Amino acid sequence: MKANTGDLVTRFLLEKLSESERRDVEERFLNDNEFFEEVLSAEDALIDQYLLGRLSDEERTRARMLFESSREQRLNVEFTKELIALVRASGLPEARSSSATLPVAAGFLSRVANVRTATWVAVVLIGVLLSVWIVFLHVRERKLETMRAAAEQSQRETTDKLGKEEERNQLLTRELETERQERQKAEELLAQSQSDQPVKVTSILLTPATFERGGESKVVSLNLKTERIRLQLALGQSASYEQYSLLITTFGGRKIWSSDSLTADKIRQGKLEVTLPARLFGYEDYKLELQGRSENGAFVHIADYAFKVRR
Amino acid sequence: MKSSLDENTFDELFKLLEPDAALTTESRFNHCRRKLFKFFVWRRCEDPDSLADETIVRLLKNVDNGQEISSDRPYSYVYAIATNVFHEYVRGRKKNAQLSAVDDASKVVFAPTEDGCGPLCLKKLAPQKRELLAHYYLDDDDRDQIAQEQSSSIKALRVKIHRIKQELKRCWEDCQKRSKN
Repeated sequence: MKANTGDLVTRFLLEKLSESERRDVEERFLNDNEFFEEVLSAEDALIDQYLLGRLSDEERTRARMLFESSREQRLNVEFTKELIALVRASGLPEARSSSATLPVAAGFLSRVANVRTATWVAVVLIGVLLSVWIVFLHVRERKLETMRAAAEQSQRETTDKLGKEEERNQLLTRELETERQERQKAEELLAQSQSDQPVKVTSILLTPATFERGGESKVVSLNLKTERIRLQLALGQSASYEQYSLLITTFGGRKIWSSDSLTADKIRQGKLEVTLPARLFGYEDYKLELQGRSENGAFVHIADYAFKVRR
Repeated sequence: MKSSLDENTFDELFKLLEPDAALTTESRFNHCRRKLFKFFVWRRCEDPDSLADETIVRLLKNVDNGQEISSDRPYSYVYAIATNVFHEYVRGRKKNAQLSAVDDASKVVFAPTEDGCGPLCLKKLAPQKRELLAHYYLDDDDRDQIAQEQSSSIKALRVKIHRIKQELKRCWEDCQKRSKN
């Protein structure tokens, strides 16, 4: 603590005032109790400064004159000396006095200060730890959020890819179907164009079918000049036989034609060919049942076919 | 201490000098005496007790003789008497009075007494007062800074410390009296 000896009261105590100034101060403290206490407290403060060695040489000399002037002043000084020693002996950690001799003992003041300090340190430490934990949680949350967003993005991309793949698949399927139909038409055209028969023979390529009335059957258009119909039955992957049986009926059950002695030499390019008079067929839907003769002589079913004749 | 003044006049005189309604006549008297005592202390008088008593005796005598005291500044008359007493003291003081030994501040070594009254009285203080005392005596902070922390002026800080010390002093003295008995 620095000594503030510049104020009026302190200068009064150190006899640094003029006669008139001193008179004013004296009359005032006699008449004004509040001011009197102020002077008393300034005297106490001066004793503190004196004992703590914070007065200039001149001030110390003047103060010494004051404190040695009467028994009570000496007692006051002694009391303050003991008080300072007592406060110091309590061992407060914040003691930073320049005094050389400081007896250290655990006193109640030091315990109070230590508990306060420890409490503040604990509060600050807890605050720091909480802050670090909050920051950690925040960073982790952001990371998880980023990962979640990435996962969602990945999922969307995968879904998009799947969708596109499916579209492509459907497109390819359609293209394949179209290709197949075009190939079939081409084969039919080829079959027709390769035939030695005059225009009077109409060829029709038939593939195995299920019998659903009204379903999609091949349509043969016959005109007045058509004398014969060449039926080409695609055999596919079915087993080959030496002898075949063919039955042609209407869907109403009327038998049109049959033969059970068709030999394998009638098979060309995987198709069994049978040429029949066109007059056998009217404006009707027809079905064909093809059988093959097995080694034991029995006929086994191979496939069914269907076609429509429209004139 | 009373003069031949009747009690009523005595009471009225000190009521005039110390008008605080809470005070008894005795405490008014003591308060007045204390002021005069300190007046002589601060004038570096060796025996302020006697000089204060002398001043009061003269005051009572003059009032008894019909001297009227102004109610505006009642101590002005008292001050005049005290000043006269002081001047007489100075004239009569021995020129080569020896000063009693008070430790030179530079050689002060602090050591508490062993009667246990000090720690006991310190413990009786309210915690805030103990803390202020520790802060005031142990820290190197400027008094301005301490006053600021206390949200008060230096003057108010000094008064606070003074009152705390007075409280301790009374406790200490009582404790020492009891331990002697």
